[in-house]
Amino acid sequence: MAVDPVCGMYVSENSNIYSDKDGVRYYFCSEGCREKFNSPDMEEKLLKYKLIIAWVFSMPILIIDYLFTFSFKNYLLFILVLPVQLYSGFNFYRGAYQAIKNKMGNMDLLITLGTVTAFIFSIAITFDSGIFPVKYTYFDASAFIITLILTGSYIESLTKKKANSSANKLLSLLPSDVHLYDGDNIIDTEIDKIKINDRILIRPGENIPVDGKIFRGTSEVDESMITGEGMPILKNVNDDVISGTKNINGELSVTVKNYGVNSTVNKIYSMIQMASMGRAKIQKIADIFSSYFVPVVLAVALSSSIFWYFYLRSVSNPLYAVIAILVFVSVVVIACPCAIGLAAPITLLISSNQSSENGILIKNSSSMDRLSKIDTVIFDKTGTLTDNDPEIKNLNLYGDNRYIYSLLYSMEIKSNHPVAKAITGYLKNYKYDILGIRDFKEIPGYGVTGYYGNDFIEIKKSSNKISLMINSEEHASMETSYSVRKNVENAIKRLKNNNINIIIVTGDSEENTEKVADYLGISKYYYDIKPEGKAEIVKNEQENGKYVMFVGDGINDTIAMETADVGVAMSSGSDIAKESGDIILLNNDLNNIYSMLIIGKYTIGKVRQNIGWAIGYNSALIPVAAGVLVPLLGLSIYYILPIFAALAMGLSSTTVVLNSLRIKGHIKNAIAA
Amino acid sequence: MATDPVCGMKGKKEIESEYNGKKYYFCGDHCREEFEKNPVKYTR
Repeated sequence: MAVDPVCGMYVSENSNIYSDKDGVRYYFCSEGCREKFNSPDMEEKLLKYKLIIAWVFSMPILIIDYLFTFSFKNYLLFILVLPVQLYSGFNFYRGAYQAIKNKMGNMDLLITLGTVTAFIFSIAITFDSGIFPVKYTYFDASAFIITLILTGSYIESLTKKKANSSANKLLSLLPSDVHLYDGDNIIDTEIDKIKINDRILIRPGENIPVDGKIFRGTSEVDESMITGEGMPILKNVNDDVISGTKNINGELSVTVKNYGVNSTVNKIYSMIQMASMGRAKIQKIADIFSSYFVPVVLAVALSSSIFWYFYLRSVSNPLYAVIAILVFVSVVVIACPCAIGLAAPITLLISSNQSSENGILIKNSSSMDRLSKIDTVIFDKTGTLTDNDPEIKNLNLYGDNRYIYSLLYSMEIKSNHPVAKAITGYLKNYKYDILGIRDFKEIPGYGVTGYYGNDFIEIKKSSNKISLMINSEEHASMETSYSVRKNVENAIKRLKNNNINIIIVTGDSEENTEKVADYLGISKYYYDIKPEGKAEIVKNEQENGKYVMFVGDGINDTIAMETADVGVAMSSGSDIAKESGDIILLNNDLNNIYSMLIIGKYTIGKVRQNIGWAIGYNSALIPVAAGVLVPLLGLSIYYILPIFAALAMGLSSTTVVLNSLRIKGHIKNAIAA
Repeated sequence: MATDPVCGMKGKKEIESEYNGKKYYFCGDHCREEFEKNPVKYTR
């Protein structure tokens, strides 16, 4: 069973109302929801016209109905109600028709039943006053049901837009035109005309339209919109640039790697959108409620209508038929399935929007309720708590310094290993020659080997010591150490102060691990652990009743991240879609780990509150509409109940959206703290 | 209605898995595989 991403109703996957977007098929309860999904701006404009027409004609109906009496009043009301009934209300009828065709209930069906019943009832009174013993019509009710519910939808669509503001901001960062290299000439063309491996120019001050690699130029780039990281980053030839970021002060020539729907900024956008599709466990109760909702409401409406019909007839009240119809209209109109449908998706969407603004990308919002329960955080060490690249310390040389520097540099420049990069970086301050190395080999877990002249050269690593061997004799030794990344101390302190258990798990040596653990005051740590071992440690904690978050980077943490209740991947910003994990940390700021736990708690709390509110609303007001207050207030409440029902229904889903918007502030405060 | 414990959607009768003596139903094989990797994660 699929869920309509617009209204949150259950939809059968056999339904032919669907739309494919970014490789995912979405199903809808009605054509209206599909149009809202595909072109929200157009839909909003149309909704506005319908709403204006509805108010322009409904107000005179209300005024004439209550303030004036003249002979052709009912005929005038009939003419005034037609535009509202036929134009403004059209979408409801279409939705209702589709609901019947697909044998499901939706909100449109209930509204249509309400407004059409009141409309036909009033026509009957207008044109043949013999059927019912009354002279006044209910055109005001039939019109206001449409007007007030449309007003509710309009406010809802405006607030939803606000809820999705961060995601929309992201897409607006992409320029529509690019400067394309045609040989040495530059031509301006639309962004969807380019291909992978095209070369484009990005001038200072422009937003970067694609993901790509720089082949010429140097510039500082502001990546804050993607990573939340405020400081501009200096980019040189061969560096990657990310779509949606801003080129600040130099011309960059870039080879296109990804564009359009495959670009990073589009992928982040889709991930934020997908958040509203996640099924948090708590939603189960809403789902059950919502799948029985429409049939139950119809049953209540019919049975209470029949009850009043026979009861009033038995006490010889001449209005028995009129009241029975008004009871039916009030019940179907006041019932609001959409508040329940919206309760979770809108909250998840707002939460994911607000988080993304701070560099927290929630990829899998189904993990939200697990996130709210996390009591244990396991950190990978290298690349997470400490820098990825080691520092070189205590270099000792035994022999001709220049020759040794030259050998170290010439060997290590051939390798991409972080240690090799650290060594060549370290040697930049020394004098060396580049030597022709033969038969170079890189042996994983050991080091590198090769020949220079007749000398057999090895650079090998054991624990955190690195040695240069010439014909098996040591000529240089050095140590590697990893420094703790900035903000980590504070992040760990915050978690500890809130009684979160912290564990370090790493493939690194005992000595290095102990040093970092001691420094950060973490007493539980595991070292020399293989990737599968990391996942085992996660499982053990889970079996002891802990809810575990695993924070890691790189491929070797994937299994542990998937095993954990919540997996958090550190990311440099590009290749976001490839990252595993439920949440991606775009700015690598570990302070956000505690913020995530808070976000989880607030989000689930708000979903629970919304579901409670929606169920409470329906369970309290449906009986009112069915007539439980009649013994107290008398039958005259039915003069206003249909309009009151429309007002309540129009406001109920807006209330859910507005209530959900309040988590924006909570999340902001959580991150700022 | 049995809910798929992994994705929260409706489970199908024919795609099932047993853990601790209780049967769980899934919307597809992907979710069942996910579940079997680490049932603890989805059953509490």
